[in-house]
Amino acid sequence: MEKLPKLQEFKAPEGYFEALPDRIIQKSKRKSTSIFIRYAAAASVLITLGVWQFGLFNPPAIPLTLEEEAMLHIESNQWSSEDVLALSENPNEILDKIIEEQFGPADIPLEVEDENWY
Amino acid sequence: MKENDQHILELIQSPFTKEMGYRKLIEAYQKRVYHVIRRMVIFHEDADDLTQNTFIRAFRSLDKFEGNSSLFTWLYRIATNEALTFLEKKKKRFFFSLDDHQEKMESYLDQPGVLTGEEIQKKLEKALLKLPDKQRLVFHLKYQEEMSYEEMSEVTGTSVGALKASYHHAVKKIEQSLLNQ
Repeated sequence: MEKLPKLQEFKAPEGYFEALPDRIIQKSKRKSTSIFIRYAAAASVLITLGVWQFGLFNPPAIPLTLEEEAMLHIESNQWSSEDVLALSENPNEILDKIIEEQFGPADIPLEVEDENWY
Repeated sequence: MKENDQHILELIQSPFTKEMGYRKLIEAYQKRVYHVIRRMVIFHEDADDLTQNTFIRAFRSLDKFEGNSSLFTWLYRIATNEALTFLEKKKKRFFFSLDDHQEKMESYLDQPGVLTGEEIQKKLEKALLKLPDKQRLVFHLKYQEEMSYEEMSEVTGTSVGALKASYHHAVKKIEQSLLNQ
């Protein structure tokens, strides 16, 4: 290995590093805004469902629970799986859980590193 | 802690200079963060996304940075975690088998203009792609970045002994792979 040269760095596109700080800062601001919007959307859905539940809008003959109400939206295709994920606080965790259930647990976090992972 | 790191952290702590601090942090470390991620994920588009995510994650958790290590070591830790998590998720979420993903990365190395070095460089890169992701990371940190085992231990959260063993195994596998090519 001593005879081998150092690896060359991969080339980044021309001007990439000049533009990167602005792109990161813009993306950071967008992410903060989208988190706020997600919370606001979740809150408004809960308020709407709450108001409905208490019968201000033509209450149904048999009152439904929030869970049943949500299931109706999903089953009638008013909400897609993306909508449901978007309403949750932690869509990535839910996706990871689904993946874990299907494929078994991942051993990613370096914090709980196995001593002999080579 | 380095003087420059201290200055960056002071800028970020004030609401009036926070954005300037973020910009200085990115400008100081973007190339090294990008290159360590690019070495792991190979494709520029993936490295670009992960570099951005690394800095955004760093901005959000800067209050957890205790200053025990250098800002760069801390950023490296976030970056390498991002890269390893990305590779693992990509394999599972898109139903890529390990071989398929390796083939894609290997064929990318053959594209003109990606690597401009001698043939041995290309062979070494391809031999590296045959290593498990974490072992590949250890090899890069030691061989390419010339980090000490203590620094690597801070970055990976792994003991020095395990890192030494991992690097030893990586070198043996690469030598064997180069002999077979």
